[in-house]
Amino acid sequence: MGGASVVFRYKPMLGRRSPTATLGLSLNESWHSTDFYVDSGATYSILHGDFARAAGFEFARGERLLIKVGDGSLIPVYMHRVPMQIGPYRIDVRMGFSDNLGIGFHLLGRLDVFDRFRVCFHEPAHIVTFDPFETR
Amino acid sequence: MNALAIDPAELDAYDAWVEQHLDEMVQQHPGKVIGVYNGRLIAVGDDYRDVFAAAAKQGIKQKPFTLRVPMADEVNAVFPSVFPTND
Repeated sequence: MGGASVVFRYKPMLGRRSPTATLGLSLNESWHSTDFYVDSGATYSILHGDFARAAGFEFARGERLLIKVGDGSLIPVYMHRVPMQIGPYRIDVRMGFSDNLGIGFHLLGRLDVFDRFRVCFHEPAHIVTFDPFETR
Repeated sequence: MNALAIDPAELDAYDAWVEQHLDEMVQQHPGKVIGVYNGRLIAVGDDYRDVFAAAAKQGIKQKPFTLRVPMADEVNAVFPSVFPTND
């Protein structure tokens, strides 16, 4: 892929700054822009089920997996491969859909993303950088 | 590389809007879904369906940028990393 880096500034909320990124996502052949919390500790990216339903995407027909979240509990997710846009770059990612994530943000995890971009969190500068690189 | 579907400048503009307004949204509309179009807050609803419907009612043909505004306790919580169960 190769090319210019994509930089997202951390977003201030109630005295904290969080690494979120506005990305494009194609569901049901329609592109949407929405915010993801960039979570380098997450294997999977997770999208909220109500977002998918509003976009007319029947996510429950996907492969059902149980995944573990940070508090140790298991939540069901339904896996699909969907087109995603990060800055000027479009990639296909495996995405879990869930009604049980427990937080408002969608999550951007490592699978199919961190193997296409070097993702660097620069805490003092409050930025997260996606640096695309060639894959074989 | 595949053809793009959203102008990257549009994604940049929405990201900048979030940076500028997220703190205000967390204070004013916690837990709600917001819709933004052309730099303007166009809808606040209980769910995404509300916001897409409000955009359509205003004659907006493109899908607006959407975000579920975090609650104050989410902001202070550790966001949950997710792992496969066979880790």
